[in-house]
Amino acid sequence: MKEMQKKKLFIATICVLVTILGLVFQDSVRAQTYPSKPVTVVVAYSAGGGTDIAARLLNQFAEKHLKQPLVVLNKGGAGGEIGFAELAKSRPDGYTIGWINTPPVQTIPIQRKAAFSLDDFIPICNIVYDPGVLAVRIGYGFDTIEKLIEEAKKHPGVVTYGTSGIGGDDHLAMLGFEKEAGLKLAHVPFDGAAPAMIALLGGHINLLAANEGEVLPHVRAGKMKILAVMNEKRLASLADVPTFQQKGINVISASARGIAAPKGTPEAIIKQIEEVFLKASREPEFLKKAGELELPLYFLDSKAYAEFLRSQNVFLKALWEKQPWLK
Amino acid sequence: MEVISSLLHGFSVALMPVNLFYCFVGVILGTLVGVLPGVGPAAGLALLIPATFGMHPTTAVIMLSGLYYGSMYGGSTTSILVNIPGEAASVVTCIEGYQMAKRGRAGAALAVSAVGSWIAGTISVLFLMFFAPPLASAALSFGPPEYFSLMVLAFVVLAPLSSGSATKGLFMAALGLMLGSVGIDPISGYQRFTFGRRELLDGIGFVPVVMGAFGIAEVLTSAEKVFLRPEVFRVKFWDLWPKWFEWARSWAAMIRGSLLGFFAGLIPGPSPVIAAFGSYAVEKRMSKNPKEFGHGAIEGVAGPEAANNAAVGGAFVPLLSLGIPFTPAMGVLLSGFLIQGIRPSPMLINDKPDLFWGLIASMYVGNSMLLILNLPLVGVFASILRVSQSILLPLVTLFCLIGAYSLNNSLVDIGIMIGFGVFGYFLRKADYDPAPMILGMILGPMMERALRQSLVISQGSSEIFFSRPLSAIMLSIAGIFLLYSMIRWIQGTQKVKGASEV
Repeated sequence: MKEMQKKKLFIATICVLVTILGLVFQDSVRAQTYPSKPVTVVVAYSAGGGTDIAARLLNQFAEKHLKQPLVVLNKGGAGGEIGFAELAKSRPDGYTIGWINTPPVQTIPIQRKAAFSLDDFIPICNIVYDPGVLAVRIGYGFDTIEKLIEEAKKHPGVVTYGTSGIGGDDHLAMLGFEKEAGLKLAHVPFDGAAPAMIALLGGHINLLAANEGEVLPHVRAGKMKILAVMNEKRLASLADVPTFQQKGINVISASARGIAAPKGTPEAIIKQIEEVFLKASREPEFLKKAGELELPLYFLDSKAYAEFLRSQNVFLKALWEKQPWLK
Repeated sequence: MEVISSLLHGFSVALMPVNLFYCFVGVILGTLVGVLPGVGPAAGLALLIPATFGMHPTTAVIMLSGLYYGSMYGGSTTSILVNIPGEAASVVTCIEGYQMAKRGRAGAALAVSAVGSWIAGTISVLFLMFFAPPLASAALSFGPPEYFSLMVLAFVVLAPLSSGSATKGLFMAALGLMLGSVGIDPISGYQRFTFGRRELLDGIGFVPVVMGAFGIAEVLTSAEKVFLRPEVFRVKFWDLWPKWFEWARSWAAMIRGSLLGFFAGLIPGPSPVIAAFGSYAVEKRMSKNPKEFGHGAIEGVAGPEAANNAAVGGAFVPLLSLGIPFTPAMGVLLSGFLIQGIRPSPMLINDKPDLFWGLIASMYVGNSMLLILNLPLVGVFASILRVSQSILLPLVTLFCLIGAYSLNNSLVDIGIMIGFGVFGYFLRKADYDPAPMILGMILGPMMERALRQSLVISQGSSEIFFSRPLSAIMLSIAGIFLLYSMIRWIQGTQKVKGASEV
């Protein structure tokens, strides 16, 4: 009996020692050069969505430059809050980065008590910039902005516009439009861009506020017409469509998606990641695939991206004070 | 006809060895995804998409689609054998399928389910082939008022289908409506019943609730039996194959289920689940022996299983013709397409005929593969019942946990599943059927959203529901239905009165 007990004690001690050694050596792995293991990329929306596709596509090319796998972790829900919060509280060691989307990453902390704030992130680079557009169904009423404004002024609160949801970039843009042009429209929120597009195509709503990437295929198919784009310059894909500013109405809106890291991530690592994604976003194969997906790209480096986020945040905070988009 | 020649061309694409192989891979994975409780087609597709990166677009599309409709075949297996739905749309199959298994007719149920799925798949591909563009336009004519009226109709028709007392059923439906209201109000942005928890901002997902109230609750109920009276589940295998009269009763149900399911797929929302419920309700009403429902009526397996497959086929119509996904899994499938550089749109049929017809042809091929795979496996699956419950139940629980987590990488979903599992266990003890609750949770939010959108469009006037023909028709049918049910109920109570007076 004593022999058996001795043997068991011996084996148990070896196991414990091995475990301790393993834990010790695990730490020293981290001391090696970055990146020495795969990097997690948090996406705050579910698999298959626009952000997810862009992330997975870019990852394919970025992995080559990073020399480590990039693994997408989908943490969707609460309009992005769950995923953003996940990123915000991750370890700032460079092994967790994530995609942040405007305006949710700015509006959520403004409109409610959120589990993150814009300051929790270090912006690395912006990738996608999808400007807002105002669309109508072809042959269904107004075909210019002027006619729309005229009609809306004659019948306040009657002209309906659909968006992908309350508090989204489409909704905020239309609130801005109403204010600038002195109109009163009727907002019909949908559960995402897809149902809103169906409603427009079916003639159930008069207008659709959406993003360029979403409506382009339908424009090409001759079903929809864009009245104006919410961008500073005309869009390459819609060269004959005026911007709102050109019509004297100051509405600029877009959905921007980029990559960020939790606050506290070392500067050197941020620079390294920025380099990787810059190179990846310039690869001809990536540009080709992004073109096929009609992903409007607009690379901003860390400084420019941070400035963009900050100034938009200031604007949104002011908008909320004057005209909160939720009660 | 031009369609036939295009289809033949499609077959030449679909039968290419590489496409054949990946079609096979897709449907096998789909069946697996369907069989595993908790892991549904959306999760399976999301996991498979990265594997398609290097593939030729047509091949990728064939494989991904195969996974989706394949998952509707597999879902019935666990429903029938262990009363746990393989995925949400197979919930209804549990009701009759499991009862059939208890009577030793598991094989028959499995076979009928496989054949029904095949018939549904074939019919829906046929419809897809001939009617895709006009159907898509018809789908567009459904606006918020029509959705509302449709939801009202669905609720009126489906709510009474709970087994047991009607009052209890209504109570569960009301509970479902209440649960469905949790989350952010879609029109005003108010938070309802979220108690400050951000995980509840999107509401209580119905998939974890289904897995819990049907899956975990079943595990708990069975486990209790094992403790109280350990018994090995004896199943007689003298009749693995359905008898001729069972076929006779089933084939009509399959056709009805297929048609219902296909058209349900044209409506946005979780159409396979709704189609399955709808088919069950239809079969129960049309049956010559309605008393048998709840105790193993084979139509209650054939119809719903056909319906959920057909709904997947139907959902392909708006996806391929408009490029708009009507169910969450379709959304994931769409992105799989997008990654391949395929943007479904009205021009897809003309721009990429190889792809479109290759896909259609591959659906015929895939459906047939599934039938050939599933039928011989009926015996194998049925023998799972021989495995001791003390091994089977923990395994099933494990899969449910993995599945619930895989929805959103969230522990909250697991919590919801377990919570509703315990709740479902007590519900069973008290003889309450959770099915109306699920219906309430799904239909309620859709109904409310559609109602309020319609009222915005009409500036507050309810007239809009009656001035639009489609909506008016559906509301009238719902009204007639209600009236009819009330009259029947009054007659029923009169009879009882009459009998007791005698």
